[in-house]
Amino acid sequence: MRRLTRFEYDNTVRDLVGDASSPAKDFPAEPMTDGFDNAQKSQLINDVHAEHYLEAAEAIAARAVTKLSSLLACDVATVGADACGAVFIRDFGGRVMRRPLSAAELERFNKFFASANAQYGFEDAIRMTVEALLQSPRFLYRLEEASGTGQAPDDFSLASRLSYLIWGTMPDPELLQLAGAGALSDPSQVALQAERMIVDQRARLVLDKFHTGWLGLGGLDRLYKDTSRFPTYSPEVGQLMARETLELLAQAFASGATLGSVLTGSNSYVNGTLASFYGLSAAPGHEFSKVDLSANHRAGLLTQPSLLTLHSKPDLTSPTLRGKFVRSRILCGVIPAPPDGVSTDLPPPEPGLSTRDRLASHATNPSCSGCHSLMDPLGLAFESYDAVGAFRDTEGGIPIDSSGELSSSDVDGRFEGPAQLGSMLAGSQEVSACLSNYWFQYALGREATVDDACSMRTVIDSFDAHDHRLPDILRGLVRMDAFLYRNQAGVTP
Amino acid sequence: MSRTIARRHLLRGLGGVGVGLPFLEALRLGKTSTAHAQGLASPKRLILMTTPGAMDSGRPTGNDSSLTLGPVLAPLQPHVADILALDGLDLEAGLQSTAHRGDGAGHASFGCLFTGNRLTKGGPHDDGDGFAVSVSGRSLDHVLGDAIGQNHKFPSLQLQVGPAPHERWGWMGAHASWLGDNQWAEMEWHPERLYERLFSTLLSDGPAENPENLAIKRRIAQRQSVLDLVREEYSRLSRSVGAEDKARLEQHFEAIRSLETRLSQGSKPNLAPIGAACKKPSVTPGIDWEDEAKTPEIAGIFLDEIAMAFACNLTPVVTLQWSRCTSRNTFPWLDIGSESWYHDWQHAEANADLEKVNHWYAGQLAALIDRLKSLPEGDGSVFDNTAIVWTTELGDSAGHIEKNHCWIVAGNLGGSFRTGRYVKLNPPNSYHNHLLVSLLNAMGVEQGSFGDPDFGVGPMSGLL
Repeated sequence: MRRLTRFEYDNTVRDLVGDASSPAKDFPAEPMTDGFDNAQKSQLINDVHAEHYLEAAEAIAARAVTKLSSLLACDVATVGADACGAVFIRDFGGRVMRRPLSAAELERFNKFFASANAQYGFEDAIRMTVEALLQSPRFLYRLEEASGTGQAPDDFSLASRLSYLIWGTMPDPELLQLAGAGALSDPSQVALQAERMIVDQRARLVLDKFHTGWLGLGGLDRLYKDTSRFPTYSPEVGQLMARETLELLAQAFASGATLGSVLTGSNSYVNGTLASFYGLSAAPGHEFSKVDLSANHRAGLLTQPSLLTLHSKPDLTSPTLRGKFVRSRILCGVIPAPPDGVSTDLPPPEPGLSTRDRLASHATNPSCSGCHSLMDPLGLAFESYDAVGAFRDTEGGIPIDSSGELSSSDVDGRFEGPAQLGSMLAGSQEVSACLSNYWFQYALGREATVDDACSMRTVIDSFDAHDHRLPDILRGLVRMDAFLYRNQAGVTP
Repeated sequence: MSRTIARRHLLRGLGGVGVGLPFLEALRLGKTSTAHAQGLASPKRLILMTTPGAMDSGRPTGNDSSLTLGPVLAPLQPHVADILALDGLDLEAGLQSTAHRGDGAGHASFGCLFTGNRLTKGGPHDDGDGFAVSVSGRSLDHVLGDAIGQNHKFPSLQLQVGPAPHERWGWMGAHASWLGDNQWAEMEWHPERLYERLFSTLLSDGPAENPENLAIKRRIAQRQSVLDLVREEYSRLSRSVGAEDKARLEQHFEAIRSLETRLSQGSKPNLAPIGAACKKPSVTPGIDWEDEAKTPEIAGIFLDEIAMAFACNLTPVVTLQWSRCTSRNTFPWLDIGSESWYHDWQHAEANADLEKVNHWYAGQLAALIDRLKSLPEGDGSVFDNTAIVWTTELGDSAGHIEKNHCWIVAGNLGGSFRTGRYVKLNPPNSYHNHLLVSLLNAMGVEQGSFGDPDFGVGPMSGLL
């Protein structure tokens, strides 16, 4: 059973009552797990959360009743308050709960409405009903019902699984209508709906959400850089860099591009501010447009300034951080924390000493080299980009050497620079499986376990089928057992 | 206490049928008049204030009968007679975590401050970046709230002032207040929402039937009936789902019930009638609460709200956390010479700038004391029955070492501490778990140890 995250709550009230005020932005933030905020295990609840839900429900309801006529499908004067309230509870309540209310639920809410109407009047009764619905378990939680056989979730549960996975929000009328007709019990119908939803622009929010979590782009929000060294960098530039990467990945997804092309391509997306920060001659303006950066030393996702900036120190590059990022996020490798009592400070910068030189002790000291051999030789590929991602061919007068070595992977070997590393990673089965794995974790709000081997296989096979076209991961996710069925304990997977 | 428990049982028993407001009012009024009639002692109150970093340089000096504050703590000079400086205190729980942890050493000891427990490896709050640490145990503010705060609207209150907005949450280093193992308490950082939570349902001064009071009563009654219905939905559903879901729905049910109890207690303060010292504070509208540069104004509002929360007897315990561990505050209203942010200044040993920040925090503490002293209570002021303990998670800022801290106790808490002096603590009496026990005892809770007994059992000697 999953509770709506703040992201899902805001999207849902936007679609439910047209309230785009993002009331959940001030809710207690979800703890992050592996960069994602939707881990089921971390969804705690206490009275502070309950109070936020109460206050948000009151505020949303108060705004909603200012447009009372648009909420109501009946005329009070004609049918009477209680009858009109009952219609409202059936229709609006069904959208809030993402399934028709049971007879007992209808009875309880109707009784509540009648009593509130008698005491406070019609408008207050509608408002109070909205408040109660927005705090009810069937709104805040994705409570699922079993289908007749008990193996599969019922149609309305599947409608919600689809809509929250692909759009991050409540099911749209088409999904609810299909669920009502019992059509989603057929996995091919689920796949068909997924097809419709994946190409819909509403999928963009989830893509951005996933990519932000996967790549840690939220860290650019207020990243500090040494302003004496990088006078034109600002947190706003950092945020635009994150948007650039989100745009790149979303466009690749929309065009059905392959993971390999993302890891090697030289296109990107910039707006006026970014173009001037990068020194590009692109059309000014707020909108992002496509640019070809093959002449600008860009080679694939990993050379995006966002990632290079994020995994640097305020003033200097950090091959260790960059290598750690590639190892953990692209290759799904595990890097242990430094042992106790070890200083992680590098020798201070001094003339004649390159960053590569300063890292030398990592390779020679046996207590460091075990783990650092997984990071530093990878991260050195990006030494030709400074701490804000700008290309450089020297560091303090010393020519840049961006050669390195990839080890402990299925595509091991030496490389000369980031383009070659990108090509090697593009051919790695581990890299494509790693992305599938992160998508699985995002989709289910938990890590995959050994019990998920079949489901993971489904996703990876789907992704492999056509040379790793990005949307094929989502096509796999909606076909896997963990998505279509309930696990043995009967709880939401 | 037995009266309290009986009343809570009664309310719980009646919960399902919906307790009408007049009935609650009657219960509360009954308790209020009894308390007054019996001439109960003024309530005791505690503020656990914590700021990131350490008081490295500019420490106070003195001896058993005198205290010299020095330039960093100069803003506290008007209150020097009310201050007990504890120098040489050791946050042993934090120090021992460092020794066991390696990565993140000295970066997350907020979690040790009020739990008295060391950090634990792993835990559910893994941010995937080597800081996967957590905390076990319930922190002092909540333990006190359990013991003495149950008649208040908030058994204890957790507030956070001045974090950079994106740093309010995230990993456990952001949290000084803990509900239990691996569960941090959410800190309120929004002055308007704090006002809403504390004061919006307090009945105003004047005739009971004035329009404002009627509106408040109507609002409370409507909330109550909405929450009654919502609670029933959780209760019903939890009976028809699997064990894991059931536990979570029941937890939510309990959260709503606890909220309902709090809300219903807010319609009238327990002891202090509104209109005397208790007044609704004003919250300046139009401030950008997300703007760090506005921290001084925001802090002023928070201090007003804390003072009035005490005057109105809405809570006996406040955790007031300024920023967080590894703070990225830049203090744009201070004349800071260093680049980047607070945590970097710590590493860079930019002591002159760190002193400016501590000087500013000392001024905030002084302003809080001023406010509490201005509120009459009994023959004196609210401050007479209060202690504010100003803590830091480090003793040595640059080294990130949890040893040799200098903490400030302001206020004697109804005679529990002898102030106007400087105490140099020596191990093992310097272990901070002893102080946590002393604070518990001073608040009237008889308990011989708190937190991990490895880091001290029994109260701290030398406080009286």
